[in-house]
Amino acid sequence: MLLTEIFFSFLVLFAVATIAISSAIRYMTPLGFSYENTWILRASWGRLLDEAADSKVSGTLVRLQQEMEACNEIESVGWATFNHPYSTSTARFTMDWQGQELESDLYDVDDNFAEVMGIPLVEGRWFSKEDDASSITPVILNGMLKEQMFGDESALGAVYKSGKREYKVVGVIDHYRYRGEFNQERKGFFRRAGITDSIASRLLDVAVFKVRPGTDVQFEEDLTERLAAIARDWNLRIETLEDMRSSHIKEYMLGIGVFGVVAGFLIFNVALGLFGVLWYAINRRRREIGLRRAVGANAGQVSIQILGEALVLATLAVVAGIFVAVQFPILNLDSILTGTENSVPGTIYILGMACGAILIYLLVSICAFYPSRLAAGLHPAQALHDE
Amino acid sequence: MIRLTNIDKVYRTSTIETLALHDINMDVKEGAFLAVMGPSGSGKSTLLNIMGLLDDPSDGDLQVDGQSIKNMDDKKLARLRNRSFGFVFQSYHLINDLTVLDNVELPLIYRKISSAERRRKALAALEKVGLSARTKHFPTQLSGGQCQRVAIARAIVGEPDIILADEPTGNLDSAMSNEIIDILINLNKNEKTTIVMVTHNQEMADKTERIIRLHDGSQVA
Repeated sequence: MLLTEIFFSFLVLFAVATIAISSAIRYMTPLGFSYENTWILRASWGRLLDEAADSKVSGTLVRLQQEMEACNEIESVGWATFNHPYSTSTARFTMDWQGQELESDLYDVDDNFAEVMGIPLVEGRWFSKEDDASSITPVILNGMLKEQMFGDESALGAVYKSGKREYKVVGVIDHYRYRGEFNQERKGFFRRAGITDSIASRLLDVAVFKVRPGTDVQFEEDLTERLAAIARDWNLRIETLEDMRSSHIKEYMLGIGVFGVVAGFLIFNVALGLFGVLWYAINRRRREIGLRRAVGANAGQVSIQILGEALVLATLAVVAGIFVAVQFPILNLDSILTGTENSVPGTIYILGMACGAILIYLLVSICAFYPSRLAAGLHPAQALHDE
Repeated sequence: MIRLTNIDKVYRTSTIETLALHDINMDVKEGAFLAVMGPSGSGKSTLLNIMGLLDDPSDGDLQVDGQSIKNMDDKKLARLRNRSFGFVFQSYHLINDLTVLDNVELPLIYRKISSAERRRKALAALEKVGLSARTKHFPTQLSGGQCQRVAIARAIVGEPDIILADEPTGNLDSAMSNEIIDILINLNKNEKTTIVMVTHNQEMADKTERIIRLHDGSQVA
């Protein structure tokens, strides 16, 4: 029974440690963009019935941009679509690459997006007016996708076809983890779009804009009013990326916290059980302990024996637990722990197992410490006399 | 070898104080075979426990091989118990989860000797008590007399100077009691082991060199 409890505790601690370590590593990995002093405007305008309505939408978007650029508080304005920074939405793109399906994230953005979001390029350039002349759609790959498609070779200038469209790589960035600090990097690329483009105007409905440091909430209200005057029937909502980031972190930490509380409760129960069992075992073995003292064991040796027996029990449970834990990387069961496949490197699993084992040994040592001292303190004559 | 001077032992609870031993003075010389007799509650086992360093006297001085135990810490006392004393108890006190051989090896575990040496000494001790054919048995598979012989083997395995036996024949019938007392007499005669034995049995006591009688915690003879 106790062995089973320690076994499950190890698995819980392994899961908590693995999630915590992978979360911490992700948190420390560069996001690839800057969220400070960056706000977003989400615009929704209902159904488009015909080309005339579509053209009207484009016109309104242009006027919204002009209005924002006219504000002293705003430094730059760019456009993106529903999978903007700190959004939970995803746009997936599947292409045929060298005879195999290659899936990645797709981000439709305009020419100003990188400047507003502070996305550094490692190769090539961002989208610009010079792309207007080309019939090939320019794209910018992130590091993971570039690595998958081109390996160590340069991707710049490469042209590939997917469906009926041709794409040309004009730049490469390192990271872009738009879903936030605790989400893993995924393969992805930026595709050039514009608010005046008739098709793109239906996609680009999120303005991202950089405000001057110190811009306060009053400006947010003023700006909303000014923009609402331009897009009268539209639903407009302004948020700061810092607020969205804060909500993202709070939500994630809440999830971790709930899991932690459940895990803590289980561990607490195991600790109580372990303490009780050891206490009972010592009372049951008083005569044996008395005998060991009589034949020459000192208090420390008795204490070490009780502690050692508990640690042997823990070792059996941990070995069984490791057998189950290694199935996670072997069978690629990452999604059970993190909700996403292929999200945890093998080394983090090893660290998780090591942390789980260390915590179990610590827990068992703490629980066994007092009973072992109790055993060490038994008076041999009295213990031998007990029936 | 063992000198007890003005030994008192008082058991105290919050309400009652019981004088278990009072003003005991005794010398146990090397190679002696003593019997301690007295009615139940006269302090026989308490005296044996104090002699064997299993219990502390409330007052007085106990010397083992000329060394007072007064200022000895737990480690020194444990080492002295391990090197100088072998214990035989009425209810054997064998560990049922261990084999006969492992039970006999027990005192040697607390000495820095190899497992092969432990095994060799344990087998030799079992040979002396005539149980070398039962090494792999567990205590629950043995008779009372055999259990007590295992306990004697455990007591002698470390070649102690003194064996303290607390009613070693108390749970045995007369035939088995004679077997056990013969083993103890042989150890005393042949190995020159000092033996102090608590007993209720006059016939067994008569086989020793000297009888010490206790009554209400005091030595009367």
